[in-house]
Amino acid sequence: MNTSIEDSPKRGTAIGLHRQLEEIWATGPGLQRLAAVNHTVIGARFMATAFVFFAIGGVLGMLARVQLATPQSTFMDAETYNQVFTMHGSMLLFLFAIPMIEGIAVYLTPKMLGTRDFAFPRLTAYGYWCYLFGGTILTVALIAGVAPNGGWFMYTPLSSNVYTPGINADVWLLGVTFVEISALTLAVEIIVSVLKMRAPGMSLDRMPIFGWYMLVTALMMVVAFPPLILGSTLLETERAFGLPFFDPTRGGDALLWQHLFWIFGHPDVYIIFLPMAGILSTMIPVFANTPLVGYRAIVVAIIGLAFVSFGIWVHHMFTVGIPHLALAFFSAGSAIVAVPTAVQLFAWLATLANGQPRWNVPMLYIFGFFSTFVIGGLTGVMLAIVPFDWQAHDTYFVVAHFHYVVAGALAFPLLGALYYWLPLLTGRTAVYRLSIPAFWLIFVGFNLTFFLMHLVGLLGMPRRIYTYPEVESWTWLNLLSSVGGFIMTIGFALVTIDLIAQIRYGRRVRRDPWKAATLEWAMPIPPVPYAFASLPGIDGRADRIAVGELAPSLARGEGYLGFARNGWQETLGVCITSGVPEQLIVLPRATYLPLWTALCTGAAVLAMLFKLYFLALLMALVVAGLFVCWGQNAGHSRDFDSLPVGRGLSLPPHTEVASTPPWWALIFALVADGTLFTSLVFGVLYLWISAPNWPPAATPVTNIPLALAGGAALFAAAAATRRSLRLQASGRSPQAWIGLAALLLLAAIAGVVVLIGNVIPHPREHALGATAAALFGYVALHAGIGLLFLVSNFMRLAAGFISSRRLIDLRLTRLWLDYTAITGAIAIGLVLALPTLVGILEMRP
Amino acid sequence: MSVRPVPARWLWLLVLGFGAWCSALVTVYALHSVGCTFAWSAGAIHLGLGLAILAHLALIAWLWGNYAKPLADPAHGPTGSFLHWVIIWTMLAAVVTIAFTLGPTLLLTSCT
Repeated sequence: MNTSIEDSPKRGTAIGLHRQLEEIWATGPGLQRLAAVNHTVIGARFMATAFVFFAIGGVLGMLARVQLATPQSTFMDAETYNQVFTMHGSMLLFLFAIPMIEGIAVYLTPKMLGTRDFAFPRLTAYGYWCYLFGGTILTVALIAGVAPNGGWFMYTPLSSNVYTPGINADVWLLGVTFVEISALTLAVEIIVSVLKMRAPGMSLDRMPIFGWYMLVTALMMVVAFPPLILGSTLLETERAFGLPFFDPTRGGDALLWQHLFWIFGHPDVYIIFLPMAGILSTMIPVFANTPLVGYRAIVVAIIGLAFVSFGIWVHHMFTVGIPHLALAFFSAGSAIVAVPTAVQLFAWLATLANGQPRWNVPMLYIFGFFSTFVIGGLTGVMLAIVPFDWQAHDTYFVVAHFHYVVAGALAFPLLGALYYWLPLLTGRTAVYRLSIPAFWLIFVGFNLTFFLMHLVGLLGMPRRIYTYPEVESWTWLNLLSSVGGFIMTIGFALVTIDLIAQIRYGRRVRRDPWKAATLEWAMPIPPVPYAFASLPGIDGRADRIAVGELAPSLARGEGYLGFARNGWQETLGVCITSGVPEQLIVLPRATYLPLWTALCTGAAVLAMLFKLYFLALLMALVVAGLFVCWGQNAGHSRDFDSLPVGRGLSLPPHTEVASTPPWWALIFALVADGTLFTSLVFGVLYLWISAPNWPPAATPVTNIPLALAGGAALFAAAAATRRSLRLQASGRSPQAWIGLAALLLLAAIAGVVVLIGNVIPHPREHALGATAAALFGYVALHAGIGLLFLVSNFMRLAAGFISSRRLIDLRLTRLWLDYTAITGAIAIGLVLALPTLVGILEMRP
Repeated sequence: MSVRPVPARWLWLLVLGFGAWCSALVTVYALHSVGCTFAWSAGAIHLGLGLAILAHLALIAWLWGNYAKPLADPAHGPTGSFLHWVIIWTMLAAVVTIAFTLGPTLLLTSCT
């Protein structure tokens, strides 16, 4: 990065400023588009790609409805139908719903928070490419006829090698995990950006409610996805290498998969719902012409909802044979989750009652949301009641319920949002000739399709059957349901035509056509790459902005950073709670690195899919090397102390402060990592206490001295890194201690690899050995990543990016190695405790 | 009066109330599983569950008294007052959630 800076940047005219900033922030033409990292570009790509997958998933849903329209249908055979319904669910949840909310978050959050981009633009781009390539793998598998076919939740033992040979299940496990990498990276990025990159003065109590929703959602993603990533990894390991985590004949337990899946799966419903609720909480006050009622109560409700949604995963498993007492508290939790949801619903109703609502197309969709979501919520409470669930479990009643919840919570607010923010996206406003009939077709079609499924479910029709006998009461309901599906599809087709027409022929509008009061409207529309020519100073609630006055002032550069300097992409970092500006953040510019890294990640995934494990390992090493390259030009190679940021304020660059975005990103990445580790420990203890065929025939044996030496090496490496940090802070050379830490990590990795090779019972023979190997593998992987940190430290020290003021690299390494040492001690301690645990197990009556 | 910035560590208090609920849920579920696996008597299981629930309620009360209550300091301005309100209500909601979801377990049969 260039370090010769202009001493005192001058502010020019609005148009001059626009040209200067455009040159710095814009994505290049032609192939340079592949190097885009700008949030507006990537957010739009996320949304467009998600719509493509929505269309494919929707077509699959229609094929399923054609098959079920009549009894004994021969339209599809059983195998094709299995692939169709599995891919319908998988695509709409993993490739449409979650990426769509990510796309909305990427596109809108920085604009609503008054900043110029997300904290890690290259990570945004990497997340997008991972999503695109993962989705493409699943789609190609569908076309090739080898798509996943075991249902969207891949229950074991159906998805194990015995019952699903071939690569169908592997496609799901690897493809979905690939997409989840994207979700996790974006979640960390959203959290850090919301906490650290708001407009100056935007304290937490002034943040638009959408910011709170995105913050809570991203925190949920950070905790919800790791259990599924762990489950997918363990199941793929079982399928590929025969480690029996889920095989009851060898000490595994099929129910462990259900636990890991639903610890993700249930919060996932709320991960989809909360951003949509954020959208509703943004749109409703605009159309009600009054501020949102119950801002503080909504914040409490969404925090409560986030937690409770995690604690009720077992309500998906009410029929697996859990004791009544446990059923009772999961049932009570499943019922009480309706309360925080209701708080939000009543807040919206109160806002509408308090204001003077005006009807428009987005309001039609809000009406559609209210009616469908309330029905879905109420049937959810019905299913939370255990005796009812036992009757309705695995029937079409459940299918109807979750379509009302997921589609009601997602599709209607999403379409409303699309019409609401269309002027922002395109600079054009709607004509609405097609919009209103399209809404009614979708609304009527949706209810006809899914309401009748409640009835056919109550009449006993099970889900996931590819055909059914001629039962009079089922036949007409299924036929009408399929007709409803086609009506809904015609509605979606009309929406598509409507949107294309409006993008092409819509009337051009000036900013803020809805008279909204949030910051995304205080910029040129469609948005410019730098979002704001200067950053606003916030002195009141950021959802009550006088957009008409603020926007021209920002365009003239009268806010913070109202100038272009040194070709830098500049924005501000603020205090988490008060929003007081505290650092100047310089963001990386467009680069092909995210694309290359995602391509290599995809190559590693494909190599694993085709069982080319050496190639997979090689590509994983290339990915690791590319990530080290990412860091090489980040930051500054000299100290600045402080730089002017406008309005008479000078701030240090982010490289010279403690509370910098990378620090927070690593903390939240470790929260995700810690969740995965906790899930692994849970898995070990769950198998110990619940799995059949325990204890194993062979007595568990571990080389205790070697295990203790490995743990000691991890702690010594962490201590050496701490020493290197202290030396650098005092201006002395830390290389020797970094080298020592690297040697200690290598020793720890070697020791752990030997331990994995000598686990008794053998990891293929019994789940006890497999879990011990998994715990050791976790330690080795983290020590290996620690090595990458140290290699990066060496390179950046040599290049001058680390100084006694610029210590973030060494602080990150210290944090990582501290975490590795602590989790390593727990993992090694648990493996050493396994013989004792097995001994305790033998005391069972 | 100048406003003192609210320390970032306050944000942890936003999650501690419901964090205690999660911990209570996991503890009760784990204790119950262990008790049933090793054939503890119904009385011992209920006693264990009751103590676990009480311990978590006491934890929230302690957090309230030692951390949440002292936050009501006008020097922190509107942001402090907002966060204080949210922290207090999340803790109250967590107490109600513990009582509603876990309390009835003490009245039910244990391992059937």
